[in-house]
Amino acid sequence: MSRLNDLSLATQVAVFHNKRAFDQLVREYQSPVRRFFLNLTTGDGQLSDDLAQDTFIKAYTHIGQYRGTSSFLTWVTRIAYNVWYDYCRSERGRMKTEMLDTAAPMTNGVAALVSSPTPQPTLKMDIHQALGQLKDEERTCITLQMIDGYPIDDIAKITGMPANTVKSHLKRGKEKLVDYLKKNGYDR
Amino acid sequence: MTDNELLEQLFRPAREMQIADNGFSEKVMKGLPQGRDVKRLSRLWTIFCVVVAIVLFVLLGAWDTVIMGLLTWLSTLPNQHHLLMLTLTAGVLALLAVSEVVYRELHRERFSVL
Repeated sequence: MSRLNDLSLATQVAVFHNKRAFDQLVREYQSPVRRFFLNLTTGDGQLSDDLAQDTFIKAYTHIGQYRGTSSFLTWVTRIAYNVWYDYCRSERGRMKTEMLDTAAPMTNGVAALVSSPTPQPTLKMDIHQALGQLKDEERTCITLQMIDGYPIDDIAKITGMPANTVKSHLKRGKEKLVDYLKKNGYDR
Repeated sequence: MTDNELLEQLFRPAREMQIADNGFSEKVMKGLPQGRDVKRLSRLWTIFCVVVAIVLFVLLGAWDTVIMGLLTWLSTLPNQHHLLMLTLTAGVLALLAVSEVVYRELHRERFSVL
């Protein structure tokens, strides 16, 4: 869908509260947004859909703020990142409380909470397991660049991080992934 | 195999993956807040009432009554009794205006949405 068409639909939603226009936007962009969350949650389909739903509802309530300077998908992805960030923050708080209650060892990031505890030998699970090795910020940057194809400048805009920080996360994330893949024999 | 080729091999299937809608969009549309529609209806109702009031005002020739009333009121204004009533009315109106401003300040967020 062209940016002009996106802007036209967004304007119809903002000015005339045209829900059909918003429905068109949701149908067009549900796949990349849900895929983004599916990779961040390392494969938790239900959680991904819940977060994606929150994202689109936020997009609807703030549609007047879309100016068309970037693509609608980039704008929605920025909202999605904020939804993910809020979710991680609330989960970290909850995890800390639970850890204190049960005195269990602390794990790194939300991935540990949502990923499958038993490894499965499918390629789909492999990518999520590989992404599960990364910190939340590294996984976000890697997902945005390697899967969604965003350049570093756009990743910086979406995440609100400085471009150099994004580069560092990408470098460290890729090193960890390559190391993980080599250790598991994928380089043969 | 180079590191880049290894990463490319890992991410290619994820990049090409398309997720079928399977009722997701419908779920989102059902979950949208209804507030905007309600506010819109409320505004339309207000506009409708104002238009009806203006039309009735003009059709029923209410101008004459208003002008006559105003002239009578102005001609009896110097009377002390009316001055007292005028002061009291102005005081009540000022009080109402101040309370409205305070209420709006306290509920600024709600009014900014409207």
